[in-house]
Amino acid sequence: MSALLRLAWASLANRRFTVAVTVATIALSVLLLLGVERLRIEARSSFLRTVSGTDLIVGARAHPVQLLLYSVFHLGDATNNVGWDSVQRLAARDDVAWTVPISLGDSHRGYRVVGTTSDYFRHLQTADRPLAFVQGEAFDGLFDAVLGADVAAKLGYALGDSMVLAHGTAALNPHQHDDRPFKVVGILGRTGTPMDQSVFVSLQAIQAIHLNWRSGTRIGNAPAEPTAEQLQPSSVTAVFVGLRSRMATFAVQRAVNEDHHEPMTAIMPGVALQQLWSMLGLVERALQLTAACVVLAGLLGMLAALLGTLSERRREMAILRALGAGPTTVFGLLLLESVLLTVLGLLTGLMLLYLLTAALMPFVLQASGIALDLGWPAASEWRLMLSVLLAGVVVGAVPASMAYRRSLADGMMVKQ
Amino acid sequence: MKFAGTSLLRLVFGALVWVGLQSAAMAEVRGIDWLELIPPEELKEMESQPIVDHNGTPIAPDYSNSHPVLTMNGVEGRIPGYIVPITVTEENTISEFFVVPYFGACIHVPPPPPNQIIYVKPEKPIEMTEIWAAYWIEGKLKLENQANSLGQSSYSMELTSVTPWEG
Amino acid sequence: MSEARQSALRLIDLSFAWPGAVPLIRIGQFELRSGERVFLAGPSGSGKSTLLGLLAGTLTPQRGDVHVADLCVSRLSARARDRARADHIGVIFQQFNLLPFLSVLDNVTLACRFSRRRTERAIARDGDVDSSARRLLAELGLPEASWVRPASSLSVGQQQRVAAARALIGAPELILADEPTSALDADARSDFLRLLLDECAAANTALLFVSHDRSLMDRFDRAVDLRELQAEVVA
Repeated sequence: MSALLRLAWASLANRRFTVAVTVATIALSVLLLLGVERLRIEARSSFLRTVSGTDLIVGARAHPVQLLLYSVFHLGDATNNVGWDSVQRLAARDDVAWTVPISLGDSHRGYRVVGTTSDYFRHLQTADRPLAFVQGEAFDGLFDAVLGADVAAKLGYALGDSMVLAHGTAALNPHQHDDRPFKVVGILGRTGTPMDQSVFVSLQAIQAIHLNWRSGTRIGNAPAEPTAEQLQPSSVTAVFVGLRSRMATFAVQRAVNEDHHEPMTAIMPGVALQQLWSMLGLVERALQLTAACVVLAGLLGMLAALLGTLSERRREMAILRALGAGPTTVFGLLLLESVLLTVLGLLTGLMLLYLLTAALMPFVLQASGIALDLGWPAASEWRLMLSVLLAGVVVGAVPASMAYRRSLADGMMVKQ
Repeated sequence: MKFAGTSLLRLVFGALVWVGLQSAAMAEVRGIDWLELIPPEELKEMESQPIVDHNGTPIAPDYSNSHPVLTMNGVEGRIPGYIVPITVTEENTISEFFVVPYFGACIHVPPPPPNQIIYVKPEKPIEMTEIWAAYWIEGKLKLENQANSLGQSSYSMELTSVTPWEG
Repeated sequence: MSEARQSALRLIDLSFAWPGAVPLIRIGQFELRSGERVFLAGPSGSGKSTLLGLLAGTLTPQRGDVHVADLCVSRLSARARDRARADHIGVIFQQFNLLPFLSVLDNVTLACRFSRRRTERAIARDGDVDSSARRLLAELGLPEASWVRPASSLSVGQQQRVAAARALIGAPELILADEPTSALDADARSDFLRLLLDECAAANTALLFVSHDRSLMDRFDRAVDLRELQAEVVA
């Protein structure tokens, strides 16, 4: 067996250029296949980790998935707001235990700013674990800010530092609220969710910094000592709701959806998430199918390369036969070459995957909140690699069996 | 050859017995009707309510008079319904869900009252299900005393299995 | 009994025809004693390639037997025949004998990789397979510097000698040589033949040298014409 291996290896080494191209083709296709799978797994985990501890999420009338995306994942923007009256009405209901309103729309150097109440940190959870502060505590003063783990780490903020918020969500923003800097009073622990990329301030603070803004433009400086009335929020982006009894979920949801005062949507996060997945499911499957086709293309390239050399190698086969190798050995040799090529392609592809992941990790996290992982491949990834190997064996059997048949017929007769 | 024949016969017989037991077990599973979960007096009241009017304003649900049927506590059986996930795990499985009699699409039909909702928290999270598909949910009904604003208890279930409902 | 052990090759009542054709090979009796070096004359088209296939066991006769060393090769299964070939026969073609991507040394030792028997004999003779190969290459006049180079970098004459070394390693009972000197120039031809004959004598390996170049004939123990062999049967 090892003799065959050495022979196969030497044979491939002799055709270095063709081999390199074949390996590269397979490697790239494997990279795509595994990359898609990795993103799929990480995206799922990231999204699924985010939603827990809330019975309902209420926002202005919108598609449930849209509401879920902007309120929880900070993806996209709300086109409308929920009036403060409605928020108060909601909180006053007997069957509602707590409400946490949030106000989105501002940013700090590309990170989303979430205006909310200090109850946010008490009620909202990720992966069934309550939020924890690694430093400091929730905001208390008007211009206090709490930072998500990534914001603090990436921008190098510590307790007591000062920061300026920008209007709108663009990363580089000419509209700065620099007349009103904030002070960092708390830093949250890592959650692996979009909370890590958020800056939290009080609802009143959002009001305060917008006092001197009319129609999206800043006019002069904000007043130094705003009154309580001025700080009263008139509307919010969404409200997280916790109920006294889960059994009231459907009833409260219906009541919100049918509210006469303003058009609103209440979603059950689990259900909206499932709707998101069925939408994404199609995209997932399309991507997986494409990746599989690319791998097939890569293996067919290997087939073409091997078939191309078959005629040249008839003499090789005749020599082996003269030495006492049977047609089975010839089959084994060719098959072994295919396996070696596939394995090399797999390893190279895997290596490329890790390199690319390491390089792109921070950008992907910033753009979509998905945290890529550099750990060992998951079970599904091992299965994919195994299928690629099996496919390589099947594809390799084609030139191998052709060589077998020819060798059987040719025997030792070297066709000059 | 004779020996092999006897073993084979035994195997076949054993298989038949096993299949028979399974179907017997299946035949024994009690079907639970959603209407059983509503006390008779409430049912009568519901019958006397006006027919759904798609033109008028929707009727605001009043569940202060909705009670569970206490004798259903401990009943084992299966009920056909829709699964509404409450909590989804990182592996995309469902760790907590509601079972309801219908998937509320029509906004003119009131949402299910508490005695038409079963809360289930299985020991092991179940595979993701389709929200629009019906399932047989099998298990043991329990009545939970939950402190809520209406001070009533509500149905939950110890789950045995979830299987697709195939008409 | 002792007669059988003394013959490297024996053909009895051999008959072979390609499908749909008249018999190409019909040989009533032919024998090579062990260590005997025989010149077989045969112009192209007389069926010498077919005969070599039959002798090496890659072809099965319709009738008759081929005995190589102690084995009745023609009655064995295809796989057993392959093994017998590896163990008892060395083959030298007219050209393109070597695997171009292996070194000279690796080409020679390749013969032992397919035969445990020859490996053992090489070890018995020289300590290990590599040493055996080196000895043969040296005796066949190949410079040491060339041994680690890829086989394709050698001249045709040198390649033929490497092929000879490969055929000789592990002292098989029989070497089949199919026009091994036809691609060489006159000087190289003479040198090659001398070396091959000497080595065969030293190892007591029988040699069946098939060629149309009758000028080499008298350097052999015996000369036979293939057409005469075939004619005997008809008669």
